[in-house]
Amino acid sequence: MTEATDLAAAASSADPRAGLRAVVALRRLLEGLERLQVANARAKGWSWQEIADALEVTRQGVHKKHAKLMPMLDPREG
Amino acid sequence: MFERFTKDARAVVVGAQEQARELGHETIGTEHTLLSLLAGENDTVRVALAGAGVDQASVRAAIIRHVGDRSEAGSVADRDAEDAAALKAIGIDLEAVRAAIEENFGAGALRLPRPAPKKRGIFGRFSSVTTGHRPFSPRNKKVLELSLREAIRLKHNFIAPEHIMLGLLREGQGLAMLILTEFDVDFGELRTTLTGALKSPAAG
Repeated sequence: MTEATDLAAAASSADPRAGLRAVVALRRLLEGLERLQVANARAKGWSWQEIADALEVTRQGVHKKHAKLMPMLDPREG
Repeated sequence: MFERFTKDARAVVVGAQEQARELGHETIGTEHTLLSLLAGENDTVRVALAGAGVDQASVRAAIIRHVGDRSEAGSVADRDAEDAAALKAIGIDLEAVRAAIEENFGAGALRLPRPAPKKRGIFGRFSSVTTGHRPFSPRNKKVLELSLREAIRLKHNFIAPEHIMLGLLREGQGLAMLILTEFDVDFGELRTTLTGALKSPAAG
């Protein structure tokens, strides 16, 4: 079997173990990307409201999740 | 029983705990006892196994091959590799994502969050992660009991590291034995060598 067909087989796998493991990995990738990009936006002077709008979530939600992790990027409360 | 252990034998038991901690393993198994025997001051066991190419480094590598390296650096690398495999299965190349991000944000910019170690109850903060205390596996306890049995068999009123190695051989089932089997260790010969060393006047 070629690598391409291997991948296709895995992607369409009905095995919950493989499927759920992919969900976890995706979630971690998403969280990593979100932290990085929120920090980047704050460093560029975006307000929490602007970031929340871009992420399509509430301002409170994004502030609660990220403000503590990046206090140094929090010169003015948004 | 522990009061019969020689200073070197006690060091082997304490050292096994240290070896488990260094590998990030939660339980002290026969493999950690073997590692400790190879690291000990008493070199009868070390010399007896050196002929088969068994030394501390090779056993440590074999343990990692079987069980994995759960030390912090090792576990981050392991989990990243697992994540990469899971993402690859749904068509996402984690290395490509990482490379693209590092181009803009610098090396090491994308860190995947890790789950916090599981804590149990209100004493969670006193868990083995912080205190370093680890339980002996039932099999490893059995090995120590068998080392006493070996001492009695040889009519010794003390338990030396050689007796612990003989106990490992007698128990015969643990990961330590599997690893020694992979190195083609001649167990009969090893038993004879250790017994001979214990009978010589230099021993003890």
